[in-house]
Amino acid sequence: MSASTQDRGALIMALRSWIERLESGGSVDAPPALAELLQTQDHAFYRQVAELTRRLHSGVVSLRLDERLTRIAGDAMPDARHRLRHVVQMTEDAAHKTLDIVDQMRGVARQISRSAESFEASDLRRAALLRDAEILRERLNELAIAQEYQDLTGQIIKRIISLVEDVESALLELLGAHAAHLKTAAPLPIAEGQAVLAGPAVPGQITTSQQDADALLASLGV
Amino acid sequence: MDKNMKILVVDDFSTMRRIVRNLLGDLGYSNITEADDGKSAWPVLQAGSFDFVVTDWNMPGMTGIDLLRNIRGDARIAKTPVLMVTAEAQREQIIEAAQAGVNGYIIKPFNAATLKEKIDKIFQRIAEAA
Repeated sequence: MSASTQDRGALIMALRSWIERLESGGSVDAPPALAELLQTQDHAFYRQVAELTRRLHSGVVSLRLDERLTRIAGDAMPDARHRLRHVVQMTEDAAHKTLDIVDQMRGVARQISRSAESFEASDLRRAALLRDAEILRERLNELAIAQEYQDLTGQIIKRIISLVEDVESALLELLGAHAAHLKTAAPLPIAEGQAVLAGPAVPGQITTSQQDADALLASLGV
Repeated sequence: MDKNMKILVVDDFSTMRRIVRNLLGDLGYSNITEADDGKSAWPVLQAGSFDFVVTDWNMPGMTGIDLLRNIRGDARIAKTPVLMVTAEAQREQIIEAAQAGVNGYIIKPFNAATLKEKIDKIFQRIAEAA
């Protein structure tokens, strides 16, 4: 903030009269007019310092915010996505392990059936063993199909991963110029067409049951 | 029904492909090929003469509904029966699939009995039409 021309002129005049007074052997104290002027200048100076401090403060605050957002978009969100993918991978591994065991046990069930065949038709053990093998086969089917939870939960988690990616991209865009300095680049946008589908049913959602679907399809001639 | 018929199972989740394959195997079908989305299924379908396609809907690359439309749009394979096995349980989706020419629609989660029932129905209809 610069002093006005008027203030400048008044200051020069006051200084001149002070020098003249000093040269003529007068008081060394600043004349009252000058003292008053200097005080005004001080106020302006302090106001200026205050304004600069305020700007610096808000600058620092927004910089920290940028840093935080940068950290979230650049590290925390990719980390969240990574963890979610890991969950999908773990459930996939677990489901496959279960299916491996189901396959092995199906072999055992077939072996029991074959062993049963070696008994005479009249032997009660034959019927009992065949029944047990059949129950085993049915239960193993149920066990196998129960593993579809992995697909359904996986689909829901993948949707959340897409959402995180979207928020991440939006944040990076918001950060604008700073985004160039981030460690992780924004991921590719999710493929079109996926977002419009409702996906696996979640509680509280109106969906169609297999029976409703059958009725609907029948009405459409399928 | 021909137990040796050539079946293509399309799903992006390996777990689900394996479950469907196992269930089909239990029903006596063993000539099964897998593809992980419509895009990889398409050349496989064009190269080999498949008798039946079981497909998911929501897949990256090419979705099941697009795969279905492509099948119906290609004169050589247009008549291949397609069963959709999907978590999409919205009325609009079911209607869309029906309009695209789906032969059966199963909502996940499903069970072995539903799969058998739908397959039987599809081939029974085909036999009737023949």
